Amino acid sequence: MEEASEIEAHVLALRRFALALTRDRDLADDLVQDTIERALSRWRLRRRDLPLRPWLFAILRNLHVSAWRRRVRSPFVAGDRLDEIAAVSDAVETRIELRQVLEMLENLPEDQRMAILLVAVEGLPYAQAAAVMDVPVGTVMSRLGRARARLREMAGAGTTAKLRRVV
Amino acid sequence: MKQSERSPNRPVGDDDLTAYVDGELSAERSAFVEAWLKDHSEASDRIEADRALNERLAGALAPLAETSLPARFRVENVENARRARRMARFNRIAAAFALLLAGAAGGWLANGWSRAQGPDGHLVADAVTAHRLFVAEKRHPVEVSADAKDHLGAWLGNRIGRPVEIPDLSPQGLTLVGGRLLPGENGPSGQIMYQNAAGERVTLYLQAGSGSESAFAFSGTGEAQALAWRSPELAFVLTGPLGREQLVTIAHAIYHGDAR
Repeated sequence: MEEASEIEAHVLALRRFALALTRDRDLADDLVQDTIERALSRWRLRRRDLPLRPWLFAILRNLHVSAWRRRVRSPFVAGDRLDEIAAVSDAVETRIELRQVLEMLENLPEDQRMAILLVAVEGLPYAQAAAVMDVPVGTVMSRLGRARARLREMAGAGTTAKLRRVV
Repeated sequence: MKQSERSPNRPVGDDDLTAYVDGELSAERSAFVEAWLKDHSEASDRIEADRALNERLAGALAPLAETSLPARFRVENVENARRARRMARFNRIAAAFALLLAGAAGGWLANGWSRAQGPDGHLVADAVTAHRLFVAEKRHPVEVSADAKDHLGAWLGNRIGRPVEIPDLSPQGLTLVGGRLLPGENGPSGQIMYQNAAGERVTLYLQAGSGSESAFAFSGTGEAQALAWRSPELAFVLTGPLGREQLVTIAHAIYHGDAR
């Protein structure tokens, strides 16, 4: 199956995106599995003008948006869920940094979080990020601008919070 | 309008600064913005902060995509899980369908060959009665024997009022014994009898049709299963001590021969 290896090459990035979007490991894993299933079933209907990577991200994003509307949040405390995700690394410092960044992302509106994740973390060009979010490029840029303004503020405040925690 | 179509020296805007951070500007425009930033330290600081932010986000989240591939995400496993779910659904439907069939068969058993059973109940009842009566006959099972096959078809056709062709069922292992004319509730009926190598007898009961078609409908008890259907010309009931699958195969042969 030719599509199998092509899809598999993107699965880990899809999972990272899903983890950062949901901040919930179980939800994220279900989302990734559903994405692979849908990609397989729609393989032949794929738009040829859109490369595979943004196509897969668009499927995941659409599934997430539709699931998000009827989601019942798991009864876990948000912090526990973040710890669960951060446990991916053995190094304490890496874990703390990962947690902090996830917390910062948590404080962004969903649209802005998605924009900054696709561009800054997944490295998609604006045009592809726009295709994933199904909005014009200008909208992606204004979301990025607003996301960055908030993140800059948080990063500034975050340094002091970090110091307090260490002390 | 695309960035490239506009003058590279137009005033620098927020959109330029955003695009500059992400390397989305053309080389020309990028150089212009870079020169502009030298005289605008506040914007320049912001760009530095945004670039640092990009790096921080990418660096912090990198470990999430550096794990080994979990087995559940192997495309092959996803595909298998999907197939298994589909099979489970199919089996549930098949089981429900089997229950339905069993229920219908149970209804027949409870009613015997009730005349009230279904629209073709009387037809099936007549056919099965005739089947039971004549297959037991050793010396006179038929009125017209197989060697007058063409005459049998013409004769039955004349009496029933519809063209009748005697189906050749030798590919199904059935030899023609012959046929007879019978009285029926809706006028004259015909019975054509066949026999297999084991001496088991199968009859095809024919009556004038009503112009409409119907699907195969099963009914029957262990020793005499019946399968009824209608073509626009004729109503058919195939009866015999065979399994349902065998009867369906034979009925298909008759149906397709009839349609030819």
